[in-house]
Amino acid sequence: MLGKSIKTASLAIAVLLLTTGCWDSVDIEDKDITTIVVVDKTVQGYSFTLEIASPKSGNAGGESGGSEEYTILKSEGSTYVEAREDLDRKADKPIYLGAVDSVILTDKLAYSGIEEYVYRLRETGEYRKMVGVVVTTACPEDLLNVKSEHNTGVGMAIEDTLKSLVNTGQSFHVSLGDILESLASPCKCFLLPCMAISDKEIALSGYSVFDCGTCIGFIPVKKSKGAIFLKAKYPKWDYVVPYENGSATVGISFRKKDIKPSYSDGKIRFDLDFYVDAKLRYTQNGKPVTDEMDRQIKVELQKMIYKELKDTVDASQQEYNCDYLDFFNVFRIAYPVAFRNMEWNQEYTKAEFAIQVKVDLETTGTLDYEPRIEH
Amino acid sequence: MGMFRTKYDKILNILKSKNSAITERTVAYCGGTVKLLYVKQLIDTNALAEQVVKPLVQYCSSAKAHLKAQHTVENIIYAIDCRIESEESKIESNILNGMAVILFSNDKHYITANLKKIQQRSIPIPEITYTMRGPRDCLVENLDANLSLIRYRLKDPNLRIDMFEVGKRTKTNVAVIYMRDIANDTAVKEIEKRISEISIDCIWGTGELQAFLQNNKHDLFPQLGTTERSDWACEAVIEGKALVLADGGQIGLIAPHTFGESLIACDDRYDNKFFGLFSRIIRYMALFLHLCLSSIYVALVSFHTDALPSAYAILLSQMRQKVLFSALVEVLVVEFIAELVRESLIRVPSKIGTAIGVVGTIVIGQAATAAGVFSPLLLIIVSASLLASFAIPDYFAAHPIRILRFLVIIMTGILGFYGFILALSLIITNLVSINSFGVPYMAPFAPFNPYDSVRAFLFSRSTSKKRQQFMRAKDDTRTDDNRRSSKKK
Repeated sequence: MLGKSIKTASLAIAVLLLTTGCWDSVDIEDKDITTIVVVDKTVQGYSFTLEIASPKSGNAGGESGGSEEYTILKSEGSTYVEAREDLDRKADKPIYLGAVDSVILTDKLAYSGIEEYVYRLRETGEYRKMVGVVVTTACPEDLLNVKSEHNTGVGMAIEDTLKSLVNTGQSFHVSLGDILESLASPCKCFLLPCMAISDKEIALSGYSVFDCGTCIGFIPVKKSKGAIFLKAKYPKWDYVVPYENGSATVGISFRKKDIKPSYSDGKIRFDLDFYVDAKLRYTQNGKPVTDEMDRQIKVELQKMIYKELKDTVDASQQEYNCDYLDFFNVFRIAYPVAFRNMEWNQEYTKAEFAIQVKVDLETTGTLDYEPRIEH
Repeated sequence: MGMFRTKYDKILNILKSKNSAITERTVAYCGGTVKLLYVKQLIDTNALAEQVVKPLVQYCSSAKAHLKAQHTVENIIYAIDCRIESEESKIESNILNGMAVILFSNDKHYITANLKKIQQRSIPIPEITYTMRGPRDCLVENLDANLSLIRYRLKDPNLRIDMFEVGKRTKTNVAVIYMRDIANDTAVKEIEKRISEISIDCIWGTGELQAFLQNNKHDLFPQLGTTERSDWACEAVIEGKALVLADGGQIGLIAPHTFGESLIACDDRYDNKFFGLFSRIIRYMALFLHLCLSSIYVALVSFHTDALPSAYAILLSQMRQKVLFSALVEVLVVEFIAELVRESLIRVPSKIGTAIGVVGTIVIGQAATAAGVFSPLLLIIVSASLLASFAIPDYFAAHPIRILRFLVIIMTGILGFYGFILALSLIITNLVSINSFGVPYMAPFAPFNPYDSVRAFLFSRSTSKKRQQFMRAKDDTRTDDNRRSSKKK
């Protein structure tokens, strides 16, 4: 009896495995591991430029770790499908997009619209949802020929640069999933980091503003602090704050940001309260900080941060007319019914903002350059 | 003389014709004869001469009345372990059991004197379960010696030893040892029932006995624990389990037994409890690694490369550039070679074993990677997996994992992580559905018991006043507040 049931079970398992097994699986070394995809808008239609890792075996003698080389593969077509088919025809092995660090969209494509491509990415499922998406002002070939300082591929260099900026609180990460989320929301506005070639290095040059999947403007990196304050998780900056007889360098980090929406008589209002921890690093002349200096630095710093925030909010309301700072999320939670019945982008431009910045300045712990020696 | 001829002549003739090893010694006196029958190889001949023959001869030289068995036991021979019997059919088995049988011409009763002398090893040190701080006396093949080791540690009057004879031809003595006031009666009865139901011609030790005591003869996971250490055997008895020992086997069987207990080492009882926790976490991880590491490699290389950061994906691809086989075949081949090396090392003398180890290392480690036959990463993985298997304290409990690893690898190679999870689910389902003499095999985790689960990792006798709850022991307390250890005067 037992023997029979074991035979039946074994047969069933064997048949199941033989008929449903993933026998078409391809081992990792038999794939073209792509680290970066640059999508461009061309005269013909679209082009894909891929950076493919061509690892050389490091097994010989069991000592060397091998080396990585990257090859560039380019394809063109009047549609994304044709461009991809062209790419497949040129590739030696199946193209593997699961290891793509960044999808780069050229500014030409960004201004003509990326919505279709984003939906294509969602449907193919070849990319990770967390893959970073950035815009570039450089031409794809130039971008992919830049040598990174650690001799890694351009994909990794861009990913590392962005990761480093996010970790130090000077930028924010935008993934494919975030873009899909934004496009699915009533707001449809978002920011994408923009990378450019600066002094033969790839650097963050600013943020492209998108509305309904089309780029409508660009915020240079010097004017992007306010946006980073609002969108980054732990923003941190150093400010050079002028005071009566010099300037002080102050490091700031955001302790808390409190965004309170209110809605009455058809008017939207946001109260933005920012609590900032500031730490005096050093003063220009090395003199100890007096109470008066402390007050001056604090006031000046509050003004500077306020201005950054005010300019950012004003730009989104007046210049771009879209809520790429994601205020709609807070409002939607507080007033779901009102939000459903309104055209958010129109209402947002009329919203009133009250910004308050509270700075806690710590001046202790700095070096005293003129110590008094008591005998 | 006449009575002796009529009563025993026939039996003596049969015995001697059947078995030439049986020795006969006759002591005559004026009223009759006394015959001693024994197997020289099984008897302590010095003891026989001093304790039986010498007093008999001395007595017979002046004997006037007929000698009787009762009188002989009480007044003549010095042997300590004597029995008076009358069943003729048992004479042969008694002699073959190492007894000296004394027949009287004028008495229908006879005497069996236990003067067994069996060649045995001295008490060995542990070979399978090495210990740093624990005692090192281990069980041997002689049941009496093993029982003396148990008795030496457990001086409790409630210690009970039930004896059984198993094997039609070997008549192997089997002892079931338990604490009458602690052990769960149901479990003990079940063990004894299964032992008494064994119908086989021979049993050479507890290893074979274990197969008869399993719930299901085809079960892969052992439902009885094993130990070679006498202190661990006593620990099991104290915890309310039954210890099964058999003549000819140096391994004791412990029942009921749970899966988690296979991961407890003897030293855990002697170490700091936090180090015990640390060791057990490592062992659970070792178990997981041993079972899953190679399969995860197959899944990542062949199916789910996107689960790796891109830098690792490139590195992995780089390592496998020159590899000839697909990931599944490569893993199966390397695992097979690793098993081959392990099996060879166990079966050969230690001096040759070192050579095999060197050959294995050089051939597999150096030449194979240099030739690009195998990926260096896979060799690291298989070596780690092999090392992990040695971290499982119960050597025999790791055997099912060794086999199931191949199932997990093959299912992962066919279905990716889906197959991996499917294989693990099958294994876990099997584990939670079996029981060891009424105790769930995955206790205390399934069914979950917070008290026992904590102590499965963090155990110290000083902080565990109650025994393991899943054992359902009659007396589940370890301490008695009203009693203090008696002071020796």
